[in-house]
Amino acid sequence: MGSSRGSLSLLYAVRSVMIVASLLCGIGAFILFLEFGEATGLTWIDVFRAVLILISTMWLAWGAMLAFVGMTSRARPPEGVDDAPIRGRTCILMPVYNENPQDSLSRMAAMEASLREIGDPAEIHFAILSDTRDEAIAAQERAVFRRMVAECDGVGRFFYRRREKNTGKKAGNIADFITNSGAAYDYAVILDADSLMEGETILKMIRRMEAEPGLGLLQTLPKIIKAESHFGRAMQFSASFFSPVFARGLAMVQGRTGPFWGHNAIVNVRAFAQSCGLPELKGAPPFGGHVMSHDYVEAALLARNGWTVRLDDDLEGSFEEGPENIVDHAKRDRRWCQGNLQHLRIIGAPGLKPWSRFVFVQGVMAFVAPLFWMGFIAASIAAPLLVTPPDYFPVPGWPFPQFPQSAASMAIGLAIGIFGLLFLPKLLIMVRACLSGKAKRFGGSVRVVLSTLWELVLSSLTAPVLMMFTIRSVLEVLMRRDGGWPTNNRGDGVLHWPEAIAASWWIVVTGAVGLLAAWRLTPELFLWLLPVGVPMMLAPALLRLGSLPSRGALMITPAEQSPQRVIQLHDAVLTRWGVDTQSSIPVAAAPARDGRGEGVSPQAPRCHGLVG
Amino acid sequence: MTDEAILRVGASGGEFAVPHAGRGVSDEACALPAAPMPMPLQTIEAETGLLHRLLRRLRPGGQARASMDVGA
Repeated sequence: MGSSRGSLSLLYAVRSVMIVASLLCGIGAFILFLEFGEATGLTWIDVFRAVLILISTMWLAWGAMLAFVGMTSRARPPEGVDDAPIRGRTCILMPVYNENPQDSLSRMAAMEASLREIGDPAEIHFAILSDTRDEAIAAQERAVFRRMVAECDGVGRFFYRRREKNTGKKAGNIADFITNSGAAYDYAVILDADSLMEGETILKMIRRMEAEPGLGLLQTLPKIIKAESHFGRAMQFSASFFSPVFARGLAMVQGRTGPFWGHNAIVNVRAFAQSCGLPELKGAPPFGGHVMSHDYVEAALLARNGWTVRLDDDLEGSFEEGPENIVDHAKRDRRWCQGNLQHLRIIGAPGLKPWSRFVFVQGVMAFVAPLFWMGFIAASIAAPLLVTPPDYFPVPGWPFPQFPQSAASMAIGLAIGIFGLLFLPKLLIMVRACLSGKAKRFGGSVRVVLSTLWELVLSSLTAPVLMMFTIRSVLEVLMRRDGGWPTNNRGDGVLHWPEAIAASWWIVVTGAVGLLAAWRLTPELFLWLLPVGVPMMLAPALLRLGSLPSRGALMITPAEQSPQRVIQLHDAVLTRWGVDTQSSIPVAAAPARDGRGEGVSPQAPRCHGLVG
Repeated sequence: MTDEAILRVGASGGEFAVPHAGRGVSDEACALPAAPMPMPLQTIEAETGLLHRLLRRLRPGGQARASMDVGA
């Protein structure tokens, strides 16, 4: 009881410090900017820009605070839980929707094999929940499924169900499973079609659920794997190297009102059924209709009903795959943007925990923040058109001008502060990894330093382009329009020049017009705007080059250096099924460790041979 | 069409070279267990928010009345 009170006090203290620190950063930037504006005579446009700076800086500071909290705290896994006997029955759910069945089902086969390797001590079933609309793909799903079941002797363990109508999309798919079969299970591990989890991790999750009956949902931190392109590998490195620190901060600050990211998580089926029946929102999409970003809402509803929702960032062995190019990333963001803005309808739902409402606000801010930055830049360029320039001869007849006091140092200080909030967390994570020895897992200290600096360069170049895609997404949602991205259906994710140009010509035009306007209207800002304008003008090249295969020695991740056992098993299943893995991971060349200190062969035997 | 043929043709035009499709696994055996569990729909939209109340009051013929009338 005392310990619970202590951890609650710590939680409130951390939240308060983070909120106050972010507010102070924002207010500091606001005041600095106003003083800077006052030097040339304060106008309404200065106040407007100062407000934009206030909001943007607060948002940046909040992200930096998450990293600082993450760096200064350590996950404390529950003691004496990870080897307890398992009593409940679990179903691993893989919702699929027109995905390549060999890709998704091979992951399920690998997870099953991973469980068998560690003795398979629990009653765990696997269910493919198909919402596939394409009949031919559905036929393939069934064929691959039958083959997998036969190979693994999995009758009674593997299940396949296809819905006639995909009402409610993924949330509806899961709800359909719960309402028809939920009573047969205590827990459900919810995956995506590209999810992959170690058997040991799945068992740990189940044990933690059993040890804490009030736990409604346990989220793991999935790491991106199998990226091939420059952009994909940068994201993969970022997700492996930086994200765990931010996730630690998030776990600290969210406490029992934790996040749900829709996959690589386990739920208590009874809690989920009791709390997460999602109705359609009134009105038409994008703000009405079925709930798109259902995971945030489900987490909030579980917390509303008194269930704990927790992010256990100490759990390793949780993986997913990411987009290989900026266009695919933007397409995914478009969907998330619409879903998060839809939460504006839900923030006021009765009975939600205040922190859940705050999480909704953060989700909205993640997409709206670029609008504030762009508004600030546009207002700065257009300022001479909107206000009267300062009068350097205020005294009639007096021949000598009165120049305003220079406030350049203040402006530079403000810029350094803002860039510091952007870059400092990543640089500190880099230093910490080098000092703690964690860098070895990422190729050593030298590679980590170079990879971090290269990641900062790449993310700085791509940030203005991604910002434009996000702004377009938000505007489209606000105008109730659907996005229209050029599609890229090839498996390798390589964008050719025509596709890259078609996807980003409007960003080039916007960047060129912006720089031209700055050159004419506010030449003193021109140099400052180059880091934003030049990447925008180079957008097609960034899209194209970012999508090309990466063979560099930088951005190495532990999963690339020594793939975890389930990744090896997955590759082995794909090889056995005759699928070209196209992997840069040298699976066949270098036997890797499986985390237990033993060298294991990448050529895993079939399911039958894995036990005993 | 056999499983082998289905796998090789593919909807997307791609060929899947699966050496042996599973046979002898019936669809019935792979159906999920029937074990219904109720999942009541939740209230997720604000009905009593300030803005909502205001809009209802402003709406012509709206049911909500001015708070002065409530006790009358």
